[in-house]
Amino acid sequence: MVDSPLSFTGLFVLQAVAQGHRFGFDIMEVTELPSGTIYPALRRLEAARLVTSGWEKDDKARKEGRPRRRYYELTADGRRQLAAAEARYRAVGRLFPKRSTT
Amino acid sequence: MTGRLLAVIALVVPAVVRPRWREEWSAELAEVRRTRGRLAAARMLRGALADARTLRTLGDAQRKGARGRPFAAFDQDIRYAVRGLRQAPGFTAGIVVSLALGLAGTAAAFSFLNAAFYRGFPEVADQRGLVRLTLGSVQKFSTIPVPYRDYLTLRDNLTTLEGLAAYRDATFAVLAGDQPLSVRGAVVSGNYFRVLGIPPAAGRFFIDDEDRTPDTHPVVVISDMLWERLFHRSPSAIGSVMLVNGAPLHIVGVTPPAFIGIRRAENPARLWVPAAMSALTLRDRDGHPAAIESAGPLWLDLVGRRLANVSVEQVQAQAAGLRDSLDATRPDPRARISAIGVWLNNPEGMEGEMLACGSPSARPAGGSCGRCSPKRSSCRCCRRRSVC
Repeated sequence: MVDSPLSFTGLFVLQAVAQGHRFGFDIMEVTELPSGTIYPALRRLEAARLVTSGWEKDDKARKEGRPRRRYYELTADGRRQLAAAEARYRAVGRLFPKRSTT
Repeated sequence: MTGRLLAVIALVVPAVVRPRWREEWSAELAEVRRTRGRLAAARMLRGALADARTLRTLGDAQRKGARGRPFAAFDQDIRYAVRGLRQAPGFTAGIVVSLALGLAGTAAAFSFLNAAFYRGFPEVADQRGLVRLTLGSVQKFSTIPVPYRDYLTLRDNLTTLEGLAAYRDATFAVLAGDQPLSVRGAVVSGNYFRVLGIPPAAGRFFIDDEDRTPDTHPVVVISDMLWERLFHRSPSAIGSVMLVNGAPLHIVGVTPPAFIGIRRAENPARLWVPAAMSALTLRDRDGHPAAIESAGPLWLDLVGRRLANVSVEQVQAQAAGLRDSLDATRPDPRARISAIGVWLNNPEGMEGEMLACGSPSARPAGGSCGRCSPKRSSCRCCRRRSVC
């Protein structure tokens, strides 16, 4: 369990996992962060027990003709940290006035 | 190509997680190759390297953390050990038997050492303050008998001692009611219990008057065991009469239950009579009862209590100065007086190592000195004995 605030990277990765992007390359795709950022972030989140990992079933990987993937999912602590971080970042966002993009 | 590079990068990853790491990255690279092409997969290797370094850093941190906490992962060690032992029952049985034998042997050895060398005599106060005096021959490393007069001379002149007591083992025939018993005991000077610092369990111990004039105060002190066996711990035992070697003696006191004298535990004294009543046990050359002062040289044990801040060496020095005034040393110019501390439960055992024959404390009344075999009747110390 990590009590320190999540980094932006951590927040992105947790949010991506929460939305169902469960393996490294998929998370990389959705967050558009480089591999050198995503995988270390996953390791740290796993060490902090905010995510856990498990192996995909062999049958499915064999059917699709590829090696089995390592899937990540949020732990209870991970969900709690994600909720706390989301609330914090929303509060920060309210401090900045909205700017027109046109 | 990417596979070979991945194998090289994997060397950075801690060995414990390396196979799983390689499997994960193989899948990731396969996915990238399938969707983005080989070049993108090659670029992904930078991520693999960063990932490997992260794992390395995290592994080091965990190891340092584990070392920093006392008994970190101790439960895992226990579980691992238990699993290992369960898988090898024969080995486990061997360990258990070895440990049991080792522990039992060690416990027995230390119990023996404690009993033989370190445990004090029960009920004796401040045993380290006691000192044992012996008269012996320098040349022959043997002890010599002590006339009771010499004990009185030492008692009255050794100012480094609070008191000096004498005692002599004896076996008494006791008749209490209609029950005859052979009881191990001792003839003791009147201050014996006072010097040893023992409180009576019932009644009192000897007073000075009872040890001043021969045969005028027929009193006896009995052990707790004898009190229990003969009188069932009745308080009326104090003051009652008991036949000891045919003489009616008044029981004046009872020793504490654990008290066994300063003798070996296997041979404890159960009865004590004052030296003034020693005619009960002593006989002269003609076989007539002899008072202790006229009985000639005797195998007496002398034990004294040092004054505070007086060392054994100081007692020894003062005792050596009294040598010329002792009857026992006059015919033997090489005789000496020794003072040794009473440190051990079984000091006689140590004495036996040093003396060639017959420490006075080991000599039972009426028998040989105990150090020489029954066949060696030529033992000088036994021959020299005039009264036994």
